[in-house]
Amino acid sequence: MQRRDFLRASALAAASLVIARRLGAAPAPGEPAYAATPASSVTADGVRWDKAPCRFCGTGCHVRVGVKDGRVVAIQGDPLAEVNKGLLCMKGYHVGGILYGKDRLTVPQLRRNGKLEPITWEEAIDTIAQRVMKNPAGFGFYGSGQWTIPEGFAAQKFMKAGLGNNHIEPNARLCMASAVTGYLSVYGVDEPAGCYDDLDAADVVILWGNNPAEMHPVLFSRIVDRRTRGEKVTLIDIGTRRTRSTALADHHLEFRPQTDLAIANGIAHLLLANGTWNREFVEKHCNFRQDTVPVSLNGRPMTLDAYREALAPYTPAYVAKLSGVPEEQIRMLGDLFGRRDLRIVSLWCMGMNQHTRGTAINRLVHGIHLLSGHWGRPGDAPTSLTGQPSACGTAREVGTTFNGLPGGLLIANPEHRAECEELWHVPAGRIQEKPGYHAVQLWEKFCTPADKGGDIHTIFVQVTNPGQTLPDLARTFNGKAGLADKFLIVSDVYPTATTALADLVLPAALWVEKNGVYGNSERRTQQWFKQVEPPGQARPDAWMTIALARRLFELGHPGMKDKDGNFLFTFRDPEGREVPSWDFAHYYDLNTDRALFDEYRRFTFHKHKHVAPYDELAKARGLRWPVVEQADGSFKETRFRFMEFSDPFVKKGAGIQFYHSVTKDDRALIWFNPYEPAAEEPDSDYPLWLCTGRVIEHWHSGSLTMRVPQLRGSMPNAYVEMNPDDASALGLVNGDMAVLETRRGRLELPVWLNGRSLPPRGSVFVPFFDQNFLINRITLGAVDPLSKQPDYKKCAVRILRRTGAPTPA
Amino acid sequence: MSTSVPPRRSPARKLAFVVALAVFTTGVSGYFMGRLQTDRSVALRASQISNLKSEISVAPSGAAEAPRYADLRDRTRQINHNWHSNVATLPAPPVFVDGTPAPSADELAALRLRRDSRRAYVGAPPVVPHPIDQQQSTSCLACHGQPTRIGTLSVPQISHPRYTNCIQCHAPKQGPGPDLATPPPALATPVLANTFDGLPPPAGGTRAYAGAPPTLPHTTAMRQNCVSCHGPGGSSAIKTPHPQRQNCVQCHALDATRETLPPAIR
Repeated sequence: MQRRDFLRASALAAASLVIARRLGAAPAPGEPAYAATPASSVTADGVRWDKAPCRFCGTGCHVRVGVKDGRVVAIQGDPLAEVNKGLLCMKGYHVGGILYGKDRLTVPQLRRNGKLEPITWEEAIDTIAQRVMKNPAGFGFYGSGQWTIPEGFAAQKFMKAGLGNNHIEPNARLCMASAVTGYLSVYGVDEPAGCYDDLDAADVVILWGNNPAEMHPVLFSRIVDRRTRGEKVTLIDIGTRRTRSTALADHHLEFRPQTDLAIANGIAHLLLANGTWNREFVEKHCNFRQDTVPVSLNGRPMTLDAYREALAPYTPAYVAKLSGVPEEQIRMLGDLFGRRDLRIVSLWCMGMNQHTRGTAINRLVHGIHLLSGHWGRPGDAPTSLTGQPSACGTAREVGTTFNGLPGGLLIANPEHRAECEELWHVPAGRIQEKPGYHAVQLWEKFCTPADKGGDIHTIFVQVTNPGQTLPDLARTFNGKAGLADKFLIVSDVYPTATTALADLVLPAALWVEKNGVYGNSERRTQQWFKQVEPPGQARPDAWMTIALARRLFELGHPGMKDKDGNFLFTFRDPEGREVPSWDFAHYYDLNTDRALFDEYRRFTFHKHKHVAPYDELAKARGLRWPVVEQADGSFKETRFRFMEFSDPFVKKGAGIQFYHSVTKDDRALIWFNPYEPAAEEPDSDYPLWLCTGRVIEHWHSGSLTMRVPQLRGSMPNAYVEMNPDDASALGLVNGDMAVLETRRGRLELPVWLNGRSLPPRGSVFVPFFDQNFLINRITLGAVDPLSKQPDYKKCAVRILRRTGAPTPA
Repeated sequence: MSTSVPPRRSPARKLAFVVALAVFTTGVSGYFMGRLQTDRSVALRASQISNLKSEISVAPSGAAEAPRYADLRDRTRQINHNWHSNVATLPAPPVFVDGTPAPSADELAALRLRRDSRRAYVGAPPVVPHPIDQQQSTSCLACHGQPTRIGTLSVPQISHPRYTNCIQCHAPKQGPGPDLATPPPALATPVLANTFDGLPPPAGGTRAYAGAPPTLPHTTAMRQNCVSCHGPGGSSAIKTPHPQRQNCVQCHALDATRETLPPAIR
């Protein structure tokens, strides 16, 4: 007890020293004098204000956090942030409340005889280390797009360069993996070429299965507020139900689920048939591509004639028949893309990504922009949005995936592995060639007994809630219950559906309770400093990973040493003395985030993703990479990629150069992918489509926002949204409890008719934020063959009136 | 370019051109004549109507006889006898002039309490105290587009007119509406308590001397329209005694020490 108190006291002292340092009171030699950077200030009422990116979605708004007496007391939209220009959404304004739910986890707990009992951090870290030592190859690490970049980088290094184990996955597999495979197979590199500035310049914005009015409200306002300034911007909503975004759209194209591929092909067909495709752009910058059998990321070449022939069936009449969208509206889209005088932005998020044909639809939407030449000018861009604050920054850019390495490098490429081994200073051959399990597979293996091929025995979960968010939970998560020798470790801030099955629960520091760096949807890397103390013994996730590595080092695991026999995570102070960061009392002696980030930065040069140095980020409201050092020593961000007027890596005179081209000829690929039916379509037994998604009030599984009174007050529970005609055919009225049944299971939910959105006949919608109504008990879990991302938007369901007493899920 | 003789027009094409020109001219002049006459007849009818006495025939029951559709165009509108004006009996909005006494301490306290109950901290977007239309974010402006008084209710005017996607920031306090059912107790989601303690609103600005205009005790972010809160019917406890004066920051200085951005880049 005394030792713990001493540790806490010294941690506090160290933390205040760091704060003092960056306020300039005591700048340590070699550390930047943060007082010279314009981030923090104190107002007359004694509130200290500092910058931080918002904790929620991938938009990446900056907030100003007001702290008084060691607690967050107020939030303001940061007027200096280019992303949000002072505006936030209801979640952002109430983000301070997420720190103060009464049931914060504050001590490590180990399950003994079915009950979680407090233990010390030393015992907790030792318990994990023993599990790893037992069989390092059967250990899995499951993180998220809410991992800060340094946290994700530490986990990545620990697994791939330490354990030589590739079973590391982010929950981002469930959320934007198809966007990644789309970018990779079209441009040869995973990143959006455009940025949010496109939204200010576009004449037409097309939402592909996207509802930014609720999911990316600040970006949606950025578009529609242009109208109040007298600008004309045409908003086209291509979706499967009417939403709040539809309410402000000029056109609504309501399509039958899965037929977005037919619509995209229909546009390409019209561009060719009308002769309005941009021949000059295509001949200069594009090649045509089609799938191999079986499918592969890079496919095989095809000629323009073959492309034309493949698209021939997708006439407006055929597309209208498949999709249910009237021919005139298909032609309208074809005509818009055929016009040179307009600038068109396509936006998408989960609708296109959570799709068993996710890679294909991503390729097609890029394809129609390339074919029509609506590419390469501000306001002409296909752009995928992300749902997590660092899905791009951490999961994608740090590559915390079963097949990735930092900076867009791949474990399948021997040169990339060698380069990373060199940069990490570990012996050649440390990084394994064989890819790990993808997210759904990893959890299936964990939920399968060892003697039946379930070779994952332990999973360490950080910053996410798979017990609520994995599809078909019986197969992917709940199957763990009752299995012998399966051990689940969960680091989180509140009790969740995941901690309910955990054997070891670790209390984590949240958001401004630790230093952090996030990366948003537009290549913008955003840094913040710790501003308040975490409650109780809660600690940062990066520390947990480093402490675990150190314990394994002490136990003699050979992977925890670099080439010279030094500990894998060796950090040195400006005098060259090793800082024992694994000892929490010394964790803040050095800005570990800064050390990890600047180590990561060296990996980003290979694919021209140059992230800015940490100290530059400390000064800015985020910088869009590549951030390139100028002759005068300053750093300059890049707004538009592959375009000569903005991207410093484009050859002079080239105009547009896809310098990571799959075909090595500086060209992007225009793909043909056919429409194919969904993995499970409604039939006579299960006659309705079931779509799941989010609402504006709650963020993902709701473990944070359901604890904020203003947000919970606004949306207290989940519901099933139906078309009133379908409801009346079933004898259901508003407020009735309906029973939803799929082939996976059943769930009871209150019916909401004429509520926020309106699905067409034959479709229902259920939000997934509510822990009491786990819709993922009955979702399908079929994945895209390339991205391995599950489809949460489409499966077959039947709805019945409930008879008898309610049955808790 | 090679020189070429323009092809001679055939007589048939000439004729077609002349006919087309005639049709076009007739069409254009006809259109404008038509418009002119229509305007004139409308004007005439209006003056006739104003001179006519009511032609409404009343049935023995006292109810007005329904007009035939064919006659509707020429009929005057009849009075709805069930309509009553309440203008005379409505409580009058408070009339302020310079020197109007400030609200009483109790009134102030009540107003403060009401305002604070709607904000998580000073500067937070207030929650919506009533159910809302879930589908149309712009329907808020039907009432909040201008200062409105409905019975005893004061409806504050939008304080940041540029932003009109209201439900992006303002969360309805009592849930999304009466139609979203709360699940039965057996299935209900337990309420999770929160100890967030928001920054309270400032007491007030400072005065350089008695009678001097007070400074602004808060930032103006999202509060460009001062009378939205400080005007008659506004939600703030502090009401302007001179609502006829429009340019507030002419006299009331911003307080730089309240700005959350560091001075160097403010």
